[in-house]
Amino acid sequence: MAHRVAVEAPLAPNPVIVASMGHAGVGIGAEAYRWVLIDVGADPKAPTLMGEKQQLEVLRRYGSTILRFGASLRRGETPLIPRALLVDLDPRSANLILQSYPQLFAMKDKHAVYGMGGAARNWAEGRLRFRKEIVERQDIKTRIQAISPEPVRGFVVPFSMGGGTGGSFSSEFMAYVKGSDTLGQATIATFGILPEFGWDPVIYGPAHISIVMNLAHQIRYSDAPILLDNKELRFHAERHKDKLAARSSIVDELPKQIRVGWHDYRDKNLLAAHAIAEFMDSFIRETEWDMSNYRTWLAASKPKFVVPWLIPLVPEGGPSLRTIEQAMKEGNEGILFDLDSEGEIPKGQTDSACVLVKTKGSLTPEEREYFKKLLQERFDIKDRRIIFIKIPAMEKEPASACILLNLKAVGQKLIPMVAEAEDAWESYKDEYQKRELSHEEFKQAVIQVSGHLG
Amino acid sequence: MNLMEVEVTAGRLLEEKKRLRAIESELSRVSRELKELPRRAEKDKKFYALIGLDWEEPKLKEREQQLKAEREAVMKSIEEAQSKILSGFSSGELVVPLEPNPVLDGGLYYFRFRSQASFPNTVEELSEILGIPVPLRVGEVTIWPDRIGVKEVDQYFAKLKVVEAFDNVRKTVSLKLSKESYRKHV
Repeated sequence: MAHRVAVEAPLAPNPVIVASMGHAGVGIGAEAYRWVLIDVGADPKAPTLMGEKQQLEVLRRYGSTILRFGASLRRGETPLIPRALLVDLDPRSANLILQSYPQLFAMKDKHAVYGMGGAARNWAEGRLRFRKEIVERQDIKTRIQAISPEPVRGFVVPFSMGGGTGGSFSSEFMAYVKGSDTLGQATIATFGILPEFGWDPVIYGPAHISIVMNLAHQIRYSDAPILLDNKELRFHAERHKDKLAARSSIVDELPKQIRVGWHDYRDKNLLAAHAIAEFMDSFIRETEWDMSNYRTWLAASKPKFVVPWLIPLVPEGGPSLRTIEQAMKEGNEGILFDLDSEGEIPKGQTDSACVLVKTKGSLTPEEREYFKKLLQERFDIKDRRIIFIKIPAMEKEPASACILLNLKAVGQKLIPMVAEAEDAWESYKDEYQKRELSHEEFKQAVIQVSGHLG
Repeated sequence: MNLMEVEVTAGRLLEEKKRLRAIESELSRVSRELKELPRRAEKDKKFYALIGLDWEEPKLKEREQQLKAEREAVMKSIEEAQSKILSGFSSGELVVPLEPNPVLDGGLYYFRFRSQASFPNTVEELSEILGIPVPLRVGEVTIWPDRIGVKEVDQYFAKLKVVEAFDNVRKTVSLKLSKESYRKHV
């Protein structure tokens, strides 16, 4: 049996690690793995492949890009383990995931990298402590090698941008990876979530400073900077709460006494996880498109940020285009970022899109035409600026599409945040300067971000 | 707008700022004396009576009014100059009179200003607007009063970087100019 797997298994591509940063990032990253495992038909609590046929099928579909095979505990069963790092200053979020999913995150504390407690919603404190507690004390390089001994070809990094830990950790992690001799060539895709002020537990002024510093790092280091915002996530989650209630979530498995914080984010995180899972599918299920291709697509774009449009938001139905058409008719679709500017979405000359189509079989001309029309109607994106990527759906898997939109309008929505950050800086600069974020470094970030977005 | 016009305005602005600081210092002194006048006047009067001269009340109130009026005028002048400079940098039509051919020196391409011009006032004012020290570092471009240096090995790309740096400066200045209108979108 093992011989057949050894002979017929495809060559393993170099892996991609999901490095989740901060409380929100840890929740969303773990949820994204659940989504991927459910898609492939595995039990997300204890994903074990029974027998070589199933093992080969998963290997052929996914390779071992984001999952690795663990040591078999029972004869003929092979556990699947996420190549995931759950990084936070506070160990509680990663602990909850590890305790609730001991068989999924089977490498136990190798998945969790944590420091000495919160970053006080202060980007500078988070960065300083990432350097001291995560890079030096926890030796992040060794921790990456422990989770994935093979050379890493990419990182997917989910995080919240307005808090202290996610925004700062992801910034410094990107700088660390790109400055590393061994990891520097790896592609970085970031999933940054903007807060909804007045709803999320963030502090207005410092959150803007964190956002600007993080945007500057994304501009500099992220090859595929993908933005989502909690306002739109909440709007869509409310609209589809019944459908989302029918899906299982990591939150449902957490001990009731301590799931309060994440409970409010259950449905929003499911939508964010859906987008991340579709993004990962684009380079793990097909050989035509590599994760690094996103880098070239966005390298010369201003802004280089993209936002996801999910159709449907909550998958249901069969694996054909009809399912997507039906979802559009029913309003089971949505962009996970608020693009409206006084009732309309400003159009850019070089707006472009990358359409990830998950349907059964090959990409048909009908599918291409459908999405071209959709994009032209809503965004006026020219044919030649649309990239199609086919994700082959399984027999019973619902069809879906994730359209990554690179629009000028995204930049225009972010610019006001730079102005807010500048105002906040005057009041908070002493707090930040004490923690090694200099006045000049902040101002340089402002110039970089406003120059890029303006 | 030409950078030379900006330089003249920036020079005037720096002078006006210096004048404003002097006025505020003097105003502060006069206001302090005015506050202490009732307490001191009584003893002063006694002294003048002792030496047999008439005591005259110092014209501090008038001086204070005069200084306040001067301060108002200087502040208005500063505001106008700042607005002119901000408009110049944010208009997208600013002419920066550089020599077209840079000189490679120590891994950097240096662009000198034509006619050996230098713009110390503009650079100082820009430093204040952007909040970064002189020389101004914008990405891989460094701006000194008399030259611009670019960390680049290819002359063509060095020129592109200069254009990009001034574009970034323009956008950042625009942001500051219209903060209020941006804020309403948040």
